[in-house]
Amino acid sequence: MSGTPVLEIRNLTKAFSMPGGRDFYAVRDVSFSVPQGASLGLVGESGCGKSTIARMITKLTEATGGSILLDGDDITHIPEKEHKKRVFSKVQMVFQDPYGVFSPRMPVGTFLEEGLVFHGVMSRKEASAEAKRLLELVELPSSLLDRMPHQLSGGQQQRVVIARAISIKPRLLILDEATSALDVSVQEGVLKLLMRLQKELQLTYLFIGHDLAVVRSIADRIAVMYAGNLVEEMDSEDLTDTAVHPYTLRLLESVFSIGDKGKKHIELENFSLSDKEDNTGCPFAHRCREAGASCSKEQPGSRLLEKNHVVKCFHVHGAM
Amino acid sequence: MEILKVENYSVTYDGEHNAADHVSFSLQEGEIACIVGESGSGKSTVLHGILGLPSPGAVTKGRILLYGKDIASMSRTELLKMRGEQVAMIFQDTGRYMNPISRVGHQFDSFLRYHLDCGKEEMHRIEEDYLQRVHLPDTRRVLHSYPFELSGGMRQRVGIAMAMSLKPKLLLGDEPTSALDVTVQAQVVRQMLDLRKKYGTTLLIVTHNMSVAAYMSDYIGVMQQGKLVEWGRTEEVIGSPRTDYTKKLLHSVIGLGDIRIKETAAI
Repeated sequence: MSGTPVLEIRNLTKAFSMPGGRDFYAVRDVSFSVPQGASLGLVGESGCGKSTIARMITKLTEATGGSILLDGDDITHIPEKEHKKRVFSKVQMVFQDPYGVFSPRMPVGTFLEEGLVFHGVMSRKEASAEAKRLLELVELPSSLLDRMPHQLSGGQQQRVVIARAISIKPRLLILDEATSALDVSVQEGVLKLLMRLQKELQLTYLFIGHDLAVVRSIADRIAVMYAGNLVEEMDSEDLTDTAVHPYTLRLLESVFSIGDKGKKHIELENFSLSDKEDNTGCPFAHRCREAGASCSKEQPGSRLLEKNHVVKCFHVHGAM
Repeated sequence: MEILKVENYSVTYDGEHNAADHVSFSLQEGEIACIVGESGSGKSTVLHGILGLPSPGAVTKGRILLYGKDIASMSRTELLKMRGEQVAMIFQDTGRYMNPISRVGHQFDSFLRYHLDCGKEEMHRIEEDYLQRVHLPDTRRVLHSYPFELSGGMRQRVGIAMAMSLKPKLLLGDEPTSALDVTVQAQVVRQMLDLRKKYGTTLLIVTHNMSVAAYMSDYIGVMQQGKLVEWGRTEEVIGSPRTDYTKKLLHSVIGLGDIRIKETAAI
């Protein structure tokens, strides 16, 4: 797993200008990399910037700072006509709602052929044989080839979408809340499938989600985002034991598990969104129980704790 | 005191399949029950029944008693009064049920005006009071906002505040926390528990989230294809589920530190 990472993001930033001349940072100074065959889980709550990162990688939106490298190739600012060759053929994405991805009147088989033909991987004829193989790969019967998307269950739809995404052998697969809309028993099956495919095909995943337990169950590393900032990154097995950032801890406290009855105490939070309007200081300061005077004045920098554990907080390691 | 009794309740939408199939359970005052199940299992159908929403003829069997009174026997006027005053509902995404081009305060006003006979000032007092109870900051600004100006979590809390404002004895929730972020979800769960503690409110919550159900309820019901396949005290259902389906549901929940997904790749 050494060598050039499949995805490398350096100081990536997406800022929007707001009325009044202030900038709003959807993503601010985020850096991480994903080596070949690995999976990075990106967690955080709605609006934290995780999907904006995915959109920048897939060229759906342009970065305003920093860089994105795919297999070492800097794709941050490339002309649109090179998107297909340098980005679309290498990165595929799976979204939360599978039905939204289908053309409602296109049979499953044709849907699977499209990607292969579009990217010139094979002819239409070869692609139709490949479609059958792809369905088997995602554990679906080939009888589904002639079905319309609405005739499939949500779990089957998502499996077909995954099959199409991996059909062109992408270097990177971005899964944006890919199992969030599925029923629990179906979700488990799709997660197992993703895990099996990754192993068999040496796929590289960027797994975006809000459910800490689900993301942790599949990712090797976890990056936690808050308000556009990457606040903590660590090996996923260390999450429950060694997480130190106050926001990561808050997330962990908020996860319910089946044996919690009567054991867990939830503290009520009182904070106002309007408390946090400037860009100075730590983004989490207004909600943080640990916050001191320096927290709202200065942005904490990244610091490396133990092996592979990065955190942005003044209060970690006794500093400040 | 028995607040709610559902007896052999059966509903069909297409005349063939039962969306709810002989569902029976009851709730005493101050109890919290959660009904879990996967999409299409009939959970929401039961809640809609309690609000008297199904069209006549859809209910093929059974009845629902609210404070001992059969909902089917209520007139339209009685139903409209009952909704809000005796039973209130929190939806999955309150934002969707709001008028997008009307300020939150205005919508709150019209809700209160329908049910209460009071002046503007009294209404505003109630509104601010209840928004504060769900810990919304800056209540004046919230009331003056359009729904899109609030975050999803804030809109949801507005929905809860509205549902609470007439002090209904029974509060229904249709996936009330499912669209919320985890930290906000924890907050809303806490607020619902506070309702019972402070006002003795009875809660019936429908959710697909087993963990939330296990945390907050006294009773858990499990629905599958319209049937209530399991109903019992939470500890019993979680600790020793009777049906295979409940076992399967419980088993499918991925907890923190779950290694079974990664194990599949190791085989």
